[in-house]
Amino acid sequence: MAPSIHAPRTRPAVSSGLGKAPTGIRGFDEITGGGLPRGRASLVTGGPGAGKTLFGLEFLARGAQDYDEPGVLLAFEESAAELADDVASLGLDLAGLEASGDLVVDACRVDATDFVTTGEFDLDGLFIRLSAAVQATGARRVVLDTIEVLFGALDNEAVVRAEFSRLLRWLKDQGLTTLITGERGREGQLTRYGIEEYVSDCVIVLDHRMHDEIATRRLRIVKYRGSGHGTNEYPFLVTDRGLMVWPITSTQLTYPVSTDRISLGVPRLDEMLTGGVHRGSTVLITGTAGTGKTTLAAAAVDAACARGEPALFVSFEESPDQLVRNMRSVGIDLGRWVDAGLLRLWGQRATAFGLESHLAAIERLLDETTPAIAVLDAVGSLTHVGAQSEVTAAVAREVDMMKSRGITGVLTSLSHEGQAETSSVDASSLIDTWLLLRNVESDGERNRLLFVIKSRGTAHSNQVREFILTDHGAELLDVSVGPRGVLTGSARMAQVAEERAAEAEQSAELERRRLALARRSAEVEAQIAVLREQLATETAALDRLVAEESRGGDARAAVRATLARRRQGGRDAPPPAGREG
Amino acid sequence: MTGPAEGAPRWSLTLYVSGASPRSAQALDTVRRVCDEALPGQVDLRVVDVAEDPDLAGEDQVLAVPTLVRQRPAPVRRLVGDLADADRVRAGLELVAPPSPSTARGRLPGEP
Repeated sequence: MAPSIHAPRTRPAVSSGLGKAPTGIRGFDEITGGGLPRGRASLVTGGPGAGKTLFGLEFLARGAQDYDEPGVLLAFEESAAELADDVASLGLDLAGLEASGDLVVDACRVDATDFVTTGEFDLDGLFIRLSAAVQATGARRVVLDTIEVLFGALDNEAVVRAEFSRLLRWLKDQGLTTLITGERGREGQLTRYGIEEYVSDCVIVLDHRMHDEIATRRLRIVKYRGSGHGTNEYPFLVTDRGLMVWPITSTQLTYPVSTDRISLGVPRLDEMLTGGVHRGSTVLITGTAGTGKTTLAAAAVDAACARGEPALFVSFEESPDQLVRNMRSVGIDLGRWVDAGLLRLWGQRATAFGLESHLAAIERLLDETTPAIAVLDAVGSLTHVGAQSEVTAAVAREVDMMKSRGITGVLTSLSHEGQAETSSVDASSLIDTWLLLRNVESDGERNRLLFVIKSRGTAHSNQVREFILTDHGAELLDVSVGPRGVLTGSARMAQVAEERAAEAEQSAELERRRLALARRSAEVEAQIAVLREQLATETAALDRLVAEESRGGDARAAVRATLARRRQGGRDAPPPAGREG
Repeated sequence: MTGPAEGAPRWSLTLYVSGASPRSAQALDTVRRVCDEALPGQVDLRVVDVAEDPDLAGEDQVLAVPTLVRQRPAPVRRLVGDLADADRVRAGLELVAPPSPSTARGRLPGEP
């Protein structure tokens, strides 16, 4: 089978015992563990416009189209042409399926005003038409929409009840998976004529209500005999690709994961995240107004396109042209990627849509563009169109859509002053990497700081960085941590200048001291030289003295010798010189 | 509401039945009797077995059996049931016999 976008993405767990017929309605088969009870009758009930008929039509059309189970629709309220129009808006080709013999639409409009009941009757006409249609198509599925009309048109209610009960038995005997639609009754009754008494296997309630002036549709499974099922009220959407139930609480965490890291386009940020974020993970950028959320997201897209990867940028705040212009002013040229066919820019005011069509549009964009990275700027804008819990559910669904497709998601969200660490959309648990941008006001200016609040699977930096927008893109700078705390902007520059001056001062002092030392050393050398000179002089003087002394010694010896000779000549006479001297 | 007998248009009635059930037989009996009394020779009556011609039954939006459908004169009327009560059949086909102006007017809502 060719891959179909409508085939369930996650194969639902098949519960033991009861067989199930997949409806092909996205999300529904997940919450029921496989679809409607096979071979039995289910009831779907709701007020006018709740989507009962569409539910039934999609069940039939997907059955015929995707599960090889032909079907029959007995329509009591609408003509065949009206029904074909209804499903065309869901992207289902009723006429095509009818032409191929996989589907029979029998519109037997019952107009209560032209019926007169005159005595006993039975519904053999209905039985015969139904069985003829079932035989003609080999149908496995039957939808009766809305059989309660018969109760209003035929005023013998006892007969209609008995015949309805017989009809259900017959359908069950034929092994047909049947879906019956019913109109919601007054005072909390599930149906106007209490037909839920006859349909005991599965009852689904659809609700279409206004909440904060916003219409929301919800689905609840009231009972499902012999099967576990989600008991919550699930929001559901009527999209141009069929119904979609958001099984938020049963969304399976079975995404393919990657250990591959990709750059967010700001080198120092990648460093803080030890090499970027994991491919296919989801990044949330929160910050107050004007902190550079969009620019940071655009940098990530720019980096992806530079790697040759397709990207999608969805803006709920700016038009594509405006976005390109604004990003160019900070040196990020998105226009060239659009021209190269790598980048799809899509802008639409969030208020232009309800949440339903918003989600449908996003899903369609993701399928059409098959991007490696997708930016939603800013998811907080959705709070204008939905109540908080629904927006959270919608964002969860978006994250789910991206993760299941392996798309790296970048969501931005506006946070408000004073509660910077709470995103306006409470989606933090769905997010893998959370970057917080914060304005710091001091010295008459506002500067931006970037924090990595969390990053799953990453030994991320605990450091604060200053985030600046230059005309060549976004940059991160180390902040100065001085005695006055974290310094940014011109305070940081002043601090840096001060530090530089201090440094310069210090090196000048050193130079001075070095010179002084050199001078002193030269002085000492000079003194040593002088002393050496003196020493040499003294040595020379001494030598002279010694030489003189030795000459003087010789002379004295000669004198003594002369004297001795003289004394030996006049012995008797004492030497006069000795006595006198 | 135009007077049924005036202009004497040809009447077209179809009675849908299911097999040869007693209910069907009784319905056919009543229709014949009423038509012969009020509209002798003016009625084209067909009897269709839904089991044999489900498509025709579909065109006439027949779900319950027996059903008597008045195709002409317009508007289309559908009478469901075994037609046991001949007065209700006359009323359903808008054959008010005998046409007594005073009683007919007396039955209208809002009249004194």
